[in-house]
Amino acid sequence: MIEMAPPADEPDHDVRPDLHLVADSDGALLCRIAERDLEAFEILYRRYARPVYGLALRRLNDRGRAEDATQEAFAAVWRSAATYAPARGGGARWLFTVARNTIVDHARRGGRTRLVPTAALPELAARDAGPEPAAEAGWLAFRVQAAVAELPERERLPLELAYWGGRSQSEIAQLLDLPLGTVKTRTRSALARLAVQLEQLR
Amino acid sequence: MSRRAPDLDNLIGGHLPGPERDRLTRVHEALLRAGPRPELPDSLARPPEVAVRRLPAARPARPRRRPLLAAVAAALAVAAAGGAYSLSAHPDEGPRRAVTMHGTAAAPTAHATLRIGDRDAAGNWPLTLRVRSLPPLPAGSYYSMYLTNNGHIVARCGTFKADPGATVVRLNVPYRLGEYSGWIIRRDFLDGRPGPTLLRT
Repeated sequence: MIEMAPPADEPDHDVRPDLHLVADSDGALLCRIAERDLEAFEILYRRYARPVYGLALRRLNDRGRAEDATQEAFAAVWRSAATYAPARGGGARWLFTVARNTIVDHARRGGRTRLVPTAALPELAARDAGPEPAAEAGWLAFRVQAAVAELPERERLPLELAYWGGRSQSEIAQLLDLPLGTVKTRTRSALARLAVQLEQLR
Repeated sequence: MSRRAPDLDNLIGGHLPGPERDRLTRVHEALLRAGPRPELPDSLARPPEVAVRRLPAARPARPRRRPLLAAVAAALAVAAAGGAYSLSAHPDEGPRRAVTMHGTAAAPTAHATLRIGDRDAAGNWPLTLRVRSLPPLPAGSYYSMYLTNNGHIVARCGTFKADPGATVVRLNVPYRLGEYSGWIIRRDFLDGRPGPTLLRT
């Protein structure tokens, strides 16, 4: 299928929050999960499976154990969603804390080892950092990855290619068969949208 | 392909006012520090089965609803985890979540299994009901399947007729299944009178 280039008047900054983000905020989803709403659980899982898995990979350095820990983390979310108190903070922070605690417990228990090639790991890990900086780094990566996941695909693709695909804007334009100006507009729009989302995820 | 950090000016151009540029710079730096999102392995393509299986112990509220909801939720969880839950000699249908329905006093030998397929993009759940030994229908009546909450009928899933032996019925419902606690099958009459409940989860 050929993707048509957008019109020249494509808005520079369409960063209005999507309606579903308002209706399905993390906190609202957790409240629904506390009421045993499977659909809410699936939505939250789709939104955060990658960030939680990324967190587990960083902490455990082992794919198999990271997979197990991710499953355990979401099981813990399901079990303890009723303890989430909206007045005490955002849903993302609560989920992060539950996931991190589960992963730490998993690390303490040890288990099978399946090494991950170093090149496949995200580059954030500040291996010499103490517990506090490491936790903050984990929280930052968690928020960023969750926010990136919520971007519209037309903005997410050029952004990911630019930041993690090592591609220049010209290469991205060629790859996506888009005018260079459109790639720049979409990348800038993605950054602006991320700024809004990261503020919401504090 | 060389891996290089992107230059913010190159990405967004150099014509932004100071505060907006500062904002985007913070995002830019956060992206560089966060690193790429990992690809999810197949094992994590769906939410964990164990999460839903532990449902009954999760929350003390609504105790009357819990057993039925647990049955529905546990059945949903099987497919949510992508797990195989083979109920019968119909391997051609592939893995499905399923709920067993039992005959009431009005139909003690009746039995049914309800397979729940994957919800489509529009939000519809395909249901395959395999029912057997339902009592024969009197003239002017038919079977109806309903979703219930705390024993009360709240939504109709469809109507059907059945052979005396086994019958397979395909239905499709748009409801949020997690909001209901169970299913029943009832005999209803064309003039609107309800008949007895014959099967329940």
